[in-house]
Amino acid sequence: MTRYKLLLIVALSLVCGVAQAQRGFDLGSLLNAGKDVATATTGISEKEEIQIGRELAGRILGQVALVDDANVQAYVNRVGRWIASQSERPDIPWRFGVANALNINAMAMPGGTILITRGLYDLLDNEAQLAGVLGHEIGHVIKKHHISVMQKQALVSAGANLAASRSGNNQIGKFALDKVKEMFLSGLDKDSEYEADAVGVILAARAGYNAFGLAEVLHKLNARAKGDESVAFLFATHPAPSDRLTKLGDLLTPRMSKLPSGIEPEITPVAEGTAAPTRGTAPTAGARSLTNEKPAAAPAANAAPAQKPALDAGGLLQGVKGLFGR
Amino acid sequence: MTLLRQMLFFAATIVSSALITAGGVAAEPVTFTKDAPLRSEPKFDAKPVAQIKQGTTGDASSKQGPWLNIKTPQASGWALTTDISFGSGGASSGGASMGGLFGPRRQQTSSTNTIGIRGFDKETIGNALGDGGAVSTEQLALLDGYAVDKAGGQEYASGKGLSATTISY
Repeated sequence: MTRYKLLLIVALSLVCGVAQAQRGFDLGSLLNAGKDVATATTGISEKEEIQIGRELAGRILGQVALVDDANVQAYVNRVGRWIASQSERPDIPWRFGVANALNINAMAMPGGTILITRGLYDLLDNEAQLAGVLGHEIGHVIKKHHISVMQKQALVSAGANLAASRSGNNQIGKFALDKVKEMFLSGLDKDSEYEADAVGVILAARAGYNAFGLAEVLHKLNARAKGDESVAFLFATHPAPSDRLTKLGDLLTPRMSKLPSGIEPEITPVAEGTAAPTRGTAPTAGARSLTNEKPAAAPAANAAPAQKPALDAGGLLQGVKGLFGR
Repeated sequence: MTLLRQMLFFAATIVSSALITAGGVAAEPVTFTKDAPLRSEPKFDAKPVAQIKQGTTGDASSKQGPWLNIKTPQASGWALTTDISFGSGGASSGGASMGGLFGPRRQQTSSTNTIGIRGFDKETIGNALGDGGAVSTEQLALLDGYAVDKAGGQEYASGKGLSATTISY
């Protein structure tokens, strides 16, 4: 064991000691935590990454449901999967969803789950712009930006085991979840966002789209007033759109001669009449507390997606398809 | 000419001068954010017709791929989307659809006032990842149901005329 790992274990044990005092963890958990710090320094496995991302996505969808338009959801998955297939992680279980929120934002979860709000989706004019947005989020996943933060904190495995040893259930323990929440609320560092932009435009170009779709979306965001509530959280967690545009210009302009022109297919709009969220909407149906509940099974890498949802959603999906005639 | 007619003529002149249309798209005021060439065609290897200084304002009337057709006091030509900001004088005043430059106007559900509506915002994400948050297994199952595999993505792309190209980062 390296000196670095030893230091980390000691440091984390001190941190966990505070947590223990606050949350009543026992000495056995702390010892387990010490073991897990070594694991954290060597990396979180792909399986763990997928499980973590899945739980985060499930929690967010517990607050904001998917848009009730099966045609659009399937469309976004086809586009997203095609772009992700051009990345260095083509075989993780990619999932894409449009969440029924009016504000403008998108989120990437570790392990390949990506959610975009309806507010952002409706802002897009063509598929190249969608490719730019999804490419940016895919960039976060393939560069493991969130996982890197978690590993730097060396808390996920340790925190998960601390909580798991106490409750015997969920993948992300309470202690670690607090840190993950903090990360999502404060946002990634600017360099990670710029890197995701750079990766996103290249992935979109590789997939045959106009590489400047993301730049067009950034122009649209830049046009939003600073006091605009719909972009408040996005602006608080990302560099200014004007700065991102400058960086993208610096990246793309010298490479213009080698970039294919790409195409801009039409985007599939959300079907008219699809229910929009209203003020005070309750958490989505099916959301349950994790207390004493087993985590939702995560799909394995390379696994073919389920043809039908595992629950009773198959019938619901058929109903949605019939409703919109698709 | 009556006063009314004079006023109508004056108003029409103002409107027509404010709109430089290309395919029905209203011109959008833009400001160059860097020194950049205006080119004769929307191609990287097209001949530059002028070198535009940072801060120069103009009107963008149409788009082709990454290129915007821009009229400046100095010259008219094509500049890259990333060379400009929308609006004049630095403040972006373009609408959410950039006057239709980027495509046909679509139904806009996004609202400037989303207070109290659950969204990807600080309060909702905080709740989702906080003590009161809960995993929706039903929504995860829906998400799984919508997923496609690699072959599905390839099939879609082929149908759209999209082909993969090798490009390094």
